[in-house]
Amino acid sequence: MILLCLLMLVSFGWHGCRWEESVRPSTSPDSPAASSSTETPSRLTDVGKITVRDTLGREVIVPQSPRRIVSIAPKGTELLFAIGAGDQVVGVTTSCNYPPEAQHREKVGGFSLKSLSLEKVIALHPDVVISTGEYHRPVIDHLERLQIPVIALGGETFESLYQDLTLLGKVTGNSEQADQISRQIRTRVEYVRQIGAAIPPNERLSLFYQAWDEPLSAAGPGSFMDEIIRLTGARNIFDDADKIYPQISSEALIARDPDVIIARKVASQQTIEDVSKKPGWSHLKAIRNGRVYLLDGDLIARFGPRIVDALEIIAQEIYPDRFSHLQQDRASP
Amino acid sequence: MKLWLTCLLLLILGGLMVISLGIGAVSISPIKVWQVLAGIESTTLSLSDRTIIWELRLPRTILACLVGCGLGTAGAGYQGLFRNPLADPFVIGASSGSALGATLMIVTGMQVNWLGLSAVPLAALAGSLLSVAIVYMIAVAGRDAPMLSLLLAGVAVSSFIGAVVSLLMFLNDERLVTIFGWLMGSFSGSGWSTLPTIAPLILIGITGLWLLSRPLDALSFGEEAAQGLGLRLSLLRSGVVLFTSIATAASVSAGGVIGFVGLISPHLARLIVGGRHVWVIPVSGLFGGILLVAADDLARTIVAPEELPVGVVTALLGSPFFLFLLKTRRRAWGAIT
Repeated sequence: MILLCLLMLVSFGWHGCRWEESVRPSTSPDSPAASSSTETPSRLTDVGKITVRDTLGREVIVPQSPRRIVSIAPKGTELLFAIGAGDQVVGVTTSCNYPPEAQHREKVGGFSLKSLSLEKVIALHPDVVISTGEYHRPVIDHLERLQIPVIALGGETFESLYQDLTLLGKVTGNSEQADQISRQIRTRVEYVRQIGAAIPPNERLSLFYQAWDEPLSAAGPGSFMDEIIRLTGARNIFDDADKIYPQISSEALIARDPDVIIARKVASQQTIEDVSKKPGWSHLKAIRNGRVYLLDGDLIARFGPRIVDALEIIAQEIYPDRFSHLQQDRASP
Repeated sequence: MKLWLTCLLLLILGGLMVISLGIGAVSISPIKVWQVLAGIESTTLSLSDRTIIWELRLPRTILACLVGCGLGTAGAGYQGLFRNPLADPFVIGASSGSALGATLMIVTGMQVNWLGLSAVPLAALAGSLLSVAIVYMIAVAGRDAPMLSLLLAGVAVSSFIGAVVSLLMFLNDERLVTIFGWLMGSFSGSGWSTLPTIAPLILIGITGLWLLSRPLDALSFGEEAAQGLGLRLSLLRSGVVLFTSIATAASVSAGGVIGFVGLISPHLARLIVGGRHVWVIPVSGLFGGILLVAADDLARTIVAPEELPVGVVTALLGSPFFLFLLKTRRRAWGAIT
């Protein structure tokens, strides 16, 4: 019994310490008192700060070359490692599986709001947190109140990917490498765009992108996939939808009868047969001609630096003749 | 009179089913529908029209009708057995068990195919039957007042299984959309393959319940009175639970958890044919079919080319309608209690 009490006391005391420790950085780091303190070595209080504008239009003050970055967005993690800021990353989510080194960082929970552990994020004393824009708004608000700077990344276009690279380059102090990656991606995108634009109207193929299998969902205007399809010179059969990822019925798909179907792999065991065997689909042009492709979900749905790989793979699948020479050129950023 | 009304309902159901073949994300004129069904060759018919009607709409409409009938009848069976106007097909755990089965399959991504059913419907069917069996065994072991303990055990087991489903959803949030979509109920993407298994099961359930009409009538006088009339209560109870669960499990397996149809249909039936189960049971089935075919038509047209889960439509329209009935026909409730 006494032992139990002791145990409780010890654990309570320990928690008390942890609590104090995790709260300390939040006591206004801008005030002179806080910046003169040297008790928290993780915060670079004596180094200068810079102000950046993130994609939600927020002005964020971040320490120059932060040493402790927590990324709560798999896309952010990929971008950070791509621009050579991987060593500054101390925390990632359980979904951050690329590049492989990222998996060795401390986990702060899942990507979704429910599974993300704010306590874990705070306990890592981040100098800055990288999030995906609007979706993470509640987390951003919370961290802001605790005076932890949060950068929100952009949406689903190549243009916003370049902006993210510039922004992260500035924030992490790796601008040079970020610009280089950005230029590489631009060149590769431009290459595909030129070939795609040269395809005569009568050879343009129609394409259905299956964003999700059950319920059946497509990619609508405003989605990254819609832009990718357009760049390759093909036509997205659901470019008239009024949502980014509309749920659609098999009927609408059969009536629009696409030339090519590209499905995002949502389960590891999923095969092309699983995609094709839905009722009524056997008469679809794409299925009769064997033009159904299954693509790694992380590659096409994460909108990080590897999205350009997805663009090239998709271009090759739609027009194998026109983009046949892409394979040897590809070098992952 | 009752016969005429029943025939009228049958006509309405048939008419609705024909109409629903023409409407959807793509609308197809009645003439074309006729040409496709009658196998008439015509230059105006495209391959896609034929595919949509034969391989999507026809099996889907038949399935919606059958599931509606199954749920309507099952509702009538439980309302009769429990002598409670609030009983529905899911009252003793049929829906939570099926939800657990389906969720497990979605989460593990297991691929099975048996009797034309793929992993999710198969697990839903098994889960539904299993959970009802567990509830039944717990309740019968309790003895004292088996009807009450059936209801209580149903509630307890349902909430326990519901918690497990929530836990699975939380731990697997990447499959959340799929699980959620299934839980809300939908006929989207159903074809012919499931019908040969689902249809006989639902028909067995309906027929079995219908054969129990007279004992159910006797039960409506109260348990003591029914036993005085020579009714073997435990036999009736197990019979009703058995047939109702078969119909419900097959329905849930085919369409997911679709609420309100099973609750409302028996009330509608009693309004027009009175309280005798020999009428209430088939007419509840007809109403269930009508309601669900109509709800499915709405589900796939109001936001076309997108689709709503049919369970959302039945709940959205069903609850206000139920309240309306409650307000205007208060006296009619007397018929069952």
